Amino acid sequence: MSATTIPWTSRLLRRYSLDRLTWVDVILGLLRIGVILAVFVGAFNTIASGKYTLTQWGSLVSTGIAQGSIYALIALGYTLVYGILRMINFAHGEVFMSGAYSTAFFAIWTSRQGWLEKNPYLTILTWILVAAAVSTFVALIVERVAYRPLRGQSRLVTLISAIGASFFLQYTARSLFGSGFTSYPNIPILNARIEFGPFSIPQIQAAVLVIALILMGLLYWLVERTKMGRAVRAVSEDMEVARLMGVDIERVIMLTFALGGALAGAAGVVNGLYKPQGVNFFMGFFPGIKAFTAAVLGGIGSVPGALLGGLLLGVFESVGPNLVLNGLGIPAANQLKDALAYMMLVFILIFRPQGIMGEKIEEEKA
Amino acid sequence: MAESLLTLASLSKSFGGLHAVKGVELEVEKGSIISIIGPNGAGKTTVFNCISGIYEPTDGAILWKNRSIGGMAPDRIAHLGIARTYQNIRLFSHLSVLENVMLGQERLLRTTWLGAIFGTPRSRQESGEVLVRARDTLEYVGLLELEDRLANELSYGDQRRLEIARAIAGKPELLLLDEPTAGMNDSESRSAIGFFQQLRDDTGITLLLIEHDMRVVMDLSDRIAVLNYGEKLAEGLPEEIQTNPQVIEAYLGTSAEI
Amino acid sequence: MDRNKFFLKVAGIAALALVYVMFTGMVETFGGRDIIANVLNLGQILMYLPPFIVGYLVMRAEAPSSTLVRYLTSIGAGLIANTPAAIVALFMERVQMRDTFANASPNLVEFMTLGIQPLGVGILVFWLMGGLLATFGIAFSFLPQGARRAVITAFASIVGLALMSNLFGQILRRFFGGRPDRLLFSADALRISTSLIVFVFAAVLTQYQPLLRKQFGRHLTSLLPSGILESGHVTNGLGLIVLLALPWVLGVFLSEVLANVGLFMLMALGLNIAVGLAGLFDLGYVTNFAVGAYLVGVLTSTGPQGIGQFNFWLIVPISIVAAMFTGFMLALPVVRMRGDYLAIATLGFGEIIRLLALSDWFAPLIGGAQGVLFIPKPAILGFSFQTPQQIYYIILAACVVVLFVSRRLDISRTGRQWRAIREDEPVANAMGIDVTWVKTLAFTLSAASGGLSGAIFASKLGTIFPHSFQLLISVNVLCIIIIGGMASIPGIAIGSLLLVGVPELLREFSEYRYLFYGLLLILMTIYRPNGMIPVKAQQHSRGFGPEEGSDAGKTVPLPAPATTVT
Repeated sequence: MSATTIPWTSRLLRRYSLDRLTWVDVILGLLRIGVILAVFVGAFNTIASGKYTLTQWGSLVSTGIAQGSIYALIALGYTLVYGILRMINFAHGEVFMSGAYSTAFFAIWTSRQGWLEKNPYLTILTWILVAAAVSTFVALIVERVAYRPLRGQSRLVTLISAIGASFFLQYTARSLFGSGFTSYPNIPILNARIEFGPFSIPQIQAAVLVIALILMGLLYWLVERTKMGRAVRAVSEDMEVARLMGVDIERVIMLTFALGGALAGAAGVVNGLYKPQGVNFFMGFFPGIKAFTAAVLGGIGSVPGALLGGLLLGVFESVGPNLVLNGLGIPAANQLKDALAYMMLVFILIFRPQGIMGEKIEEEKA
Repeated sequence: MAESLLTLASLSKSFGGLHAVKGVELEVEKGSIISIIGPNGAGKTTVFNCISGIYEPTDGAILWKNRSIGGMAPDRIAHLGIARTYQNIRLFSHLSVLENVMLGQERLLRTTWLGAIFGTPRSRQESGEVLVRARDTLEYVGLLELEDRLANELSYGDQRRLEIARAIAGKPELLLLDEPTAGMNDSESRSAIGFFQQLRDDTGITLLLIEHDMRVVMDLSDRIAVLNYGEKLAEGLPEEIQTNPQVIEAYLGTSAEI
Repeated sequence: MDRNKFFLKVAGIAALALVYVMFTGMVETFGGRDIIANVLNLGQILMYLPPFIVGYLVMRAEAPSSTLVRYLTSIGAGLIANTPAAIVALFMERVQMRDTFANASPNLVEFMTLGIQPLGVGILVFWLMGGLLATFGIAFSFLPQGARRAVITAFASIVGLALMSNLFGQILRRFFGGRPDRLLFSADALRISTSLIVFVFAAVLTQYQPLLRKQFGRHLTSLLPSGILESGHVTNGLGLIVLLALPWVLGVFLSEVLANVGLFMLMALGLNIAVGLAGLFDLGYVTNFAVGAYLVGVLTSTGPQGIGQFNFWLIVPISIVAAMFTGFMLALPVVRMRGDYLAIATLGFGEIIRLLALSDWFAPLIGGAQGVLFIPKPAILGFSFQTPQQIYYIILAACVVVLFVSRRLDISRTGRQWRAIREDEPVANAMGIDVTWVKTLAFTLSAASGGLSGAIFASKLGTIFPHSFQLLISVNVLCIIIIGGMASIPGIAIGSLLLVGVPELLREFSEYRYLFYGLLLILMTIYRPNGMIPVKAQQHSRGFGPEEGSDAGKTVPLPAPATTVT
């Protein structure tokens, strides 16, 4: 009847949880080892071959950081909404697109009016404001039409509606603005390069990072220091308790959508500064998925996590093909940049769905 | 001493720093009815979750017929013949009553998807048996005429009965009942007592239950274990527990339910 | 609701909708399609409907105010609904909107103002039309409910018939030779006489529908041996005969459409195993389609990418097995994930596969962006399936097989296990179901018909490119299931016809296809979460037990199940 009646072997086995180890665990374990091995072998081969110089690595990293800060700005939208509603706002990529696409026309117009030449910084600021306004509007409409009627339903139901919203917005933009591509005006003042040591960084990349950091700082201040932010945090902590404390939940939800939308709109302009070409109705979908990856990577629900996840994903996407795939002897590795990002998404979801900053989700009680 | 079916040996489970269950010892003999009582948050349901494999014990062992099953996956434990019900009823609410009971028979079934696709004689036969057994079980609990209803259309009491039907449809040897009479009125819980006794006499099943209603506990149980703050406070015959001063102080004294 | 608030809300939504359909170009594009020849086109319907509905709704709203006030508010609401559109139209030519909004063209203004010049007068007419239409809406609200329904049905019948004029026209021409369709249609639109007949016929039919059904039903059942309808053999048999005869009835073009519908239905039936039966949201179903297509492509092609030039029929089973293997391998990493993460991860897989197919890495094997060319049509014993009609029969056979298999699975223990994990995974696990295995199985089996569909697709088309395997395919298939009805076979059939067949008949509106898909997805999840033809939970219960069929008549009528999507 006491503990001594248990055979020691079963105690030992239990300590290592072999009873719970299934064939899937074994396969996933092998997969994990395989991935780590592939990364190491690829990286070793590439570095050993000395194919790239330090300067080249530096520029890959800085490109990654610039791209990553755009991901981070979009990722914040996923994270904010997830923190409150525990749902994936699948249409968020399209919120980003709405701001970016519509503001491209505004930007072209300001450039034609000569504003851009006269007062570039102020003009860019107006772009950001316009894009943020459009994206906020779209985000709020999506919330009102596609999500609010489904409040309290399962995550999957909302996801279907979100996929619907995503396609609706994409093809609305296509119908409104046409199916072609447009581009942001070129900004001469940002074409210079910053030099330090062996590295040379395009000024635009630095600008992208700076704008992103400023916006994130602003958000951080809003969430951490204002009364409004306190309500948001309270709701994300425990919606029921917050409701009892008199927080207007619906207003907080709208606020998170609005904040996420504004940041996504701003990200649209930043993206337009960084990569002026390729503005069209489909420009939001895949960046949206990648930003979601970044949000999960950083720990979905966490604001600093989104920044960290975005930067990591950006750098990985930029360095990875050259570092890992090249070393594994895969031709034209840069074609697989996106595939690598999606693989990262899948691996994060398999092995660490709680992300870097997130806590492990509690065991579900039966 | 009758054959021991289930043994908990210094069973412990902690979540982070919180010790939900600490060194609980319990011996469940075949064919007996044992109750676990204790104030809210005493760790009773955690014990059930450990037995049915939903939680992995942090320490200690769970022996089923002298074989260690602690930390085994829930489906394997179900296949051994341990079935359970839930404190807040958890039926497959959008499935029919009949299908709920059919799903309780998983441990008796052997046919696979291949048999289903090719419609092998064996799978057809088993499919017929499942239906017959499901109807028999429903008749036993008195829900046969509701077989085509969806589970969530039933009344609260019928849902409780359906959950028990689903649990016993697989002919388990041990049935874990988590507050089976919660929310029942006097006459309902009296008939529940009769039902469980009848069930034991008919099938020789062993019952381990968590219960708040002291009348049910005293009338039904062969033995009672008392949990408090995750630890076993006392164990014994109903009369012994009723007169145990520690129990009275820790449990009966603080609870208005008696 | 507060009446003032309601009034503003309805008028506001209508105004927004009107501006939306103008700027997205719907008014103009749809305006190109006459419904009743020279009288009414689809664009006008789109433009006139919002103020009409507004007038109707505001009039019907509960109100303590006097009748006169109600008239005035209704008409006012109609005017408000048209106001933003009128303002936009007024400025459309002064401000250069066209650079941004591709559809803000003078044609649109002309369409709105009915060509009345000068512009100011035309727009005034358009604006006042809002009030007029609202008045019609008020008049409509005075009709008795039965009459309202009859009018709506009759009107919908006219629109439906006119939109499907192509379909009916081709069938008529095939049957009678010559141009009998010209009697009914005039250049794709209904003639005035036809539309009057349709209107009266449909309206009368709606009015007397319950009566007719009863009478007709009684005669029918008295003609047939008792119980034969319930067994389903007659309906199934008749259905099969119709399906077999269809290519002959429809002709080449429509059979091609039907073949495409069939390919998507095949995929939907497969994906339904994962999504409908097991509740696993697979957004990367196109992967299986691609595996099947590329295997057939590479192994049967006579072009530069071809290896072995095997016979199609030899490769089909291989591609099914390969797709199942892919499904199995991709299931392993995702089965442990939460539902929504699983959806995103599978979406990732779909994209990874497409990018790999596009990459130079695999180009030597599968052609990269150049794709695989010269894939022969299916052939057996010297007979080659060349025309769409012939290939239709292959697809039909495949659908029947997949239907049969998935039905068998649905009513078996396996189907029951899937439903259980869809409902409540931890409890299913505690009941003795190996959740991981059962989910993996669902993915694996669901992949099979994706592979089959891809195999037929490759052979039917003759060439495949990575471009053919976009995410949109997965989304399309998913939409069929959700809009048709999860786990509902009739729902999937209707969904395929509606979401694949109808768009192919209305190619001129193809740019709005996915816009409507998106809208439908949102509306369905909110208003009809179980799809157009929901599945009844009761029908699974009995499996193929000894009593199958025999007690079908015994079942008690039950209240409609209040199920929701899980």
